[in-house]
Amino acid sequence: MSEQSAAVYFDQIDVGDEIGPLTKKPTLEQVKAFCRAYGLEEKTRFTDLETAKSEGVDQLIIPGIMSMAYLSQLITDWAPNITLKKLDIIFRAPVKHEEEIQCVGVVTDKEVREGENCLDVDVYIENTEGRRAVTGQALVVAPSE
Amino acid sequence: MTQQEELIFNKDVLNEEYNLGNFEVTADTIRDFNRSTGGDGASEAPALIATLFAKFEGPDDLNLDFEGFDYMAGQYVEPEASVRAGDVLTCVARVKSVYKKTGRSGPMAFVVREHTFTNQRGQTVARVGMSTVRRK
Repeated sequence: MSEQSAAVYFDQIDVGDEIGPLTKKPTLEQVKAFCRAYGLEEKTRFTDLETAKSEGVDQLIIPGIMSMAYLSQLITDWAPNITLKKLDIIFRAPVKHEEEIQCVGVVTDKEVREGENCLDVDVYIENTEGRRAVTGQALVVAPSE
Repeated sequence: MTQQEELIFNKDVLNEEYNLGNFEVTADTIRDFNRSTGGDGASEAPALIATLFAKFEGPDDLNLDFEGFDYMAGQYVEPEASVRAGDVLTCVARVKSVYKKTGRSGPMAFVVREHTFTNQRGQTVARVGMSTVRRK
């Protein structure tokens, strides 16, 4: 969790509020760390260009779950007192190594459901050309003040 | 424009639970996961940690008759409890649907799986849904 993040409260949040951006530029070392955590072998299409080419991919890309981890980090770094209840995403295009991307969230709805202060948040990963590689929704619960 | 087409696979596996195995969450796994997202490798497990163990494979008798490489199409995670180093997660999965589509890049086979992870205390820690696409 980010040390800079401050608590947020349900009543202070409005539909349309933005979360982030969280800027990333995935490196080969970071992708290798992810692959180790995921249990992938040494040479994969994510870390070795020849392997990638043999599988029809002409450049190194990051694993989809790593993109999801970025969006999870966007939400959990937002504030220490919120809870990520669900993250649901679609992979629309690959994210390349060393590509600068921004992870962004926009609150689209807020309501109390079954006693919980629920926030619906649209999330996406966009590159500097405005291409959205990953899109989805998060369900977040925030406490009342 | 896409069109839905018949796909050959073992339909008996649909919605049948299969055991994907037990997975120990080590301190190294957590550290590598945190480093991969630009963190300092802190020992706190991120909410998403269970997704590491939701694999493309299974069940053994799916018998999907479609050659190609698998890619992620979509995924959801519902974290329910925190995970710590030393926890052993048991994963039970099931195939929800299998279907074929033909798009601009040619035919594709989609497999939608759901995974439920419980820890060694029997507590559900996460539900993970995963949609994969196999392309030629």
